[in-house]
Amino acid sequence: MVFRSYRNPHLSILICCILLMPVAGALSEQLALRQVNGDVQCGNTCITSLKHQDNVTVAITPTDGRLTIQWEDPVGNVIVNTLQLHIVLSPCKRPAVCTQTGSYRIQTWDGSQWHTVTTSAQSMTTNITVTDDLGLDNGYKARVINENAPVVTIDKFALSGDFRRPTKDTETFWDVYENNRVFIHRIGIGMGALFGITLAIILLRKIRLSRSQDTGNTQLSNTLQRHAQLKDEIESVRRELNSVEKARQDLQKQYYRREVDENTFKDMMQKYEQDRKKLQHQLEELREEMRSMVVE
Amino acid sequence: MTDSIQRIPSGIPGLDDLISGGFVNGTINMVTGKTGTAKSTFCAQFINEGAAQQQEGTLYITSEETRLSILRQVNQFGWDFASLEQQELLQILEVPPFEVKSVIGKISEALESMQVNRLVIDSVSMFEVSLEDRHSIRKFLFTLFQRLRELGVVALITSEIPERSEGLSPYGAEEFMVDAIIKLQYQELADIQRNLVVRKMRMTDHSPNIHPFEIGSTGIQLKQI
Ligand SMILES: Nc1ncnc2c1ncn2[C@@H]1O[C@H](COP(=O)(O)OP(=O)(O)O)[C@@H](O)[C@H]1O
Ligand SMILES: [Mg+2]
Repeated sequence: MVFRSYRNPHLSILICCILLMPVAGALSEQLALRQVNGDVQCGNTCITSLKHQDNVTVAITPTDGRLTIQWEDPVGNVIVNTLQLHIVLSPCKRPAVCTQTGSYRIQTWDGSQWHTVTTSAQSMTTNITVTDDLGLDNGYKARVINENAPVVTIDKFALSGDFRRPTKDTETFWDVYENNRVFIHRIGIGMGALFGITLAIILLRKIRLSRSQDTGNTQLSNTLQRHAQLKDEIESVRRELNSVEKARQDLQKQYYRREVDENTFKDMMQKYEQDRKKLQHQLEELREEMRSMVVE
Repeated sequence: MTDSIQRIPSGIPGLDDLISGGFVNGTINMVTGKTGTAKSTFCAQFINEGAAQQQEGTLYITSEETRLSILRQVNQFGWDFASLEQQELLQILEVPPFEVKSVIGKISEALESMQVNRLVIDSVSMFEVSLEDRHSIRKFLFTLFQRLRELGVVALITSEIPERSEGLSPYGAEEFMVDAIIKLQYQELADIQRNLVVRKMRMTDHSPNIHPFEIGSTGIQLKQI
């Protein structure tokens, strides 16, 4: 049925749109995440940058054999008090050769000293208090330290905060992200549902169509069957008629040669005549049915 | 059958094969059948064969029809009786039934003026009707047939079987006196409805069968069975 919909351009366009919707949803979710996330898969040198909507530049560089995350406000007008840093470490896929075991420390630089904020095995979140007088030149730094590994691989990190609008300081990056995520997920679910419903409708229609086709096919095959049957019947009636005709001819020869008496001849001829008329009538009826069938 | 038996062709295609070659010379042959069975046609075809084909003198005595009626009827089969009359090969004699007593005299008279080989009387039944009783009929027929035999002609007489009768003639008289009887009949149930049977033919090994025939553009024609 889906493959038959090409016959109906509107339906095919609709189907294409519906099919593309979840893809579009997934893509847009990915794009939304990219706006606030930095995907970092790096070894010794790993620099990635991500532009927040408020022009916050984030740079990551390895320092002292360890990963340092650094961000700065290029305008130098940081008003916001709190930034939130979320780091997801690269999952250790092959534990036997994995060096990234043990505990991690996430540290932030407040302009004069490092603060160890929290530790966790795989992901860490910390709030960084930002003050105006910290100045651009130093920037804000954060680093992830694993005592057992010279290089820490960060899978994802997110930095959130409103650098420009103090009135919105109640809304953190994570709120925005979460809202976006929920919104996008709802769209995704909605599209999924729409897709499902459409698919169901299409399937139902397909079933109905194939059923009606089945009925049509049954009618057609019935017709063909009757046609073949009629042909057989006509053939057999014709054969019967021929044999009656042959019997009539034979009887007349017998009569001429006086092999049958007059009365027998008359009786039998009358019987043959009746048979012949009956068969001819039958034949005519069968042929008529055949003709009407052909016209249909 | 001996070699002395002389036969003349009947003129009916297919019939001579059934009667060893034709009618025996000097015999009286009766064609009988119900009305419309083609007795008159048979007679005319016999006459045409004699006069037109064999150049024999022929005499056609009719008690049923007029000469003109006969000329018209035979014309449809392409037989020109008027021309045969002119060539003196044919003489058509109208003898009304009530003149039955004069018929033998009229025959003798006709035969004086021409050499006749074939003679037709169509029909003797018509003369019988004018006679009072069976005895008179038998007497008339006896006298007539005796005269015909004396003349040495091949005579073909017709007799009309009444519609519901199973006999061969209306009074059951002539069948005993004639040499041959050909019965023409109808069989409505058959594909070919007309047929004939040679009921008797003296000096002849004739077919015992029923023979269907048709009347076509050239007259009576027997069909193969
Ligand atoms: N040209 C013809 N073709 C076919 N049938 C004919 C033709 N002329 C006459 N007949 C048939 O012959 C019949 C008359 O024949 P006819 O010799 O007069 O009979 P009958 O003398 O025994 O009464 C007609 O009733 C008709 O059926
Ligand atoms: Mg007649």
